Amino acid sequence: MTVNDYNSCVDAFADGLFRFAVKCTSDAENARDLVQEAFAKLWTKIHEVDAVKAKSYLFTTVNNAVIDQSRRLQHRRKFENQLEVGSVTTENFDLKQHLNDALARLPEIQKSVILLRDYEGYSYQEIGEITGLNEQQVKVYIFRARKTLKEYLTNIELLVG
Amino acid sequence: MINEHNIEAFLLDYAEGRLSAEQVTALMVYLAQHPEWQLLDELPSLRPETAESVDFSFLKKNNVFVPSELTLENEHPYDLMAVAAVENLLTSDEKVKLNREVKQNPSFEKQLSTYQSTVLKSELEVVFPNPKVLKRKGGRTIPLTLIGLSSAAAIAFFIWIKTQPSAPNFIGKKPIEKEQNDNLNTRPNTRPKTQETPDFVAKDLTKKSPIKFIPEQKQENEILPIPNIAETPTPKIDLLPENDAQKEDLALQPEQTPENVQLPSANTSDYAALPTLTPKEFIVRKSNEFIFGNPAPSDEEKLSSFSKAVASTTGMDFEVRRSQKGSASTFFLKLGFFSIERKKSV
Repeated sequence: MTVNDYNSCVDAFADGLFRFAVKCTSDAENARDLVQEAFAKLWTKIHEVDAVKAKSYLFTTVNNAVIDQSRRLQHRRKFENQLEVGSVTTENFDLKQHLNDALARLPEIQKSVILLRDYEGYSYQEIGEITGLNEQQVKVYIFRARKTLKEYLTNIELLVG
Repeated sequence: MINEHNIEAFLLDYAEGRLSAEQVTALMVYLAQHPEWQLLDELPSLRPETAESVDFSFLKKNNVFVPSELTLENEHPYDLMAVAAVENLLTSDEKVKLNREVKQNPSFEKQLSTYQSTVLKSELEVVFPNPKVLKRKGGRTIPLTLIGLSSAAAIAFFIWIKTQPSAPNFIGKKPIEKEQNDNLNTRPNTRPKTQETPDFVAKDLTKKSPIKFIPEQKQENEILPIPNIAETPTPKIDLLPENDAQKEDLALQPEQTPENVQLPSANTSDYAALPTLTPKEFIVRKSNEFIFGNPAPSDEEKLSSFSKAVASTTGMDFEVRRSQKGSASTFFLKLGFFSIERKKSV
């Protein structure tokens, strides 16, 4: 991988990587740090990483960092989620917002696979390479994620009436 | 043959999955021919035929052992079919069956609609701020871990320097070198110290760097006096040695009288004629030779060399100055935020 390849990766993947990190962490500043660290790591291994695999390498790096962070914040997040339940009203119903809320409640692995699937359009096999899962596990996690999102939206609709 | 008498038994067998493919087909034909059984629309749990007819093998486990939480064996066929539709994994035949199911079952249509709304739309307005900071022009990146290790090594080195007997005095403490000389001067001396005695005789050569001894230039025609061995005073030992250092000191002094001392030549290693070194001293001197190219570098040379190496590795600011004003010399060293200044009079 050359310096030009690296800079091309910045142009091509920085935004997508940032969106992925923002959705996973719900924190733009933290997401920016994660993206910068991922590219810094790629730069240190510029001679080892193939240009074709660079995108997968970057998303894998960010995904692993997100999972590490989420493990540290797991207990606090559970507490926050408990406090947020029941805050929906008819006036503020917004599908996109509620979908984001539902997404934030998903387990990290389900959130990652569904974001990679919907945001980046990765195949099951590619998602498996990034997350370290096999194809069957990816399918199951995507199924469970969609089912959870669907149930959350259904409950919200019932609440709103 | 299915008839009005055994239809219920067939339905129960169907619900329990005990019908063969031919029997299921016969049941479907019978239901299609008897509209009165359309009330089964209200009993979706008894009508999994459409969902089961779809090939969900792409969602089935393909490993010998898969944890129960990673299988879809117990999921409802409607959910499986809806997710398969959202993921665009259905074949054309399966899509036809899906459409038929949607038309026949409004609740499933609503379910499918909700599933489709779970597809996330990429928010293109969210972009990485200032991606130029990520770009590179070449060069080399130093990992943070390496910088951390370098800093730790620098701290360890400074601690090591401070713990050495000849450590530089940066905090106004009395120099160790002077302390040693003072201690030596207070020791019981076994012979009178004369003007002709070289300075290094009175110092413990095994504890510090050797002092360069520059012999006086002798005239070529000068006749050196032949020492009279018989008149050479025998050293008297006034006190018994109390420790190993004193023993060593006492053992050396008779050989270092002005008459029989051999001055080191320019081509001879300064350490060749020194007393036996301890393993620690040997390692220190060999390390100095390897690192600094000098078996006995001054403390300032050690600091400068090491700080320069740290600066070149970490990119920290580095500055070293030496100045001489009259009899006072000043040594200044700066490494990043750390700086020292040492003043001493010659």
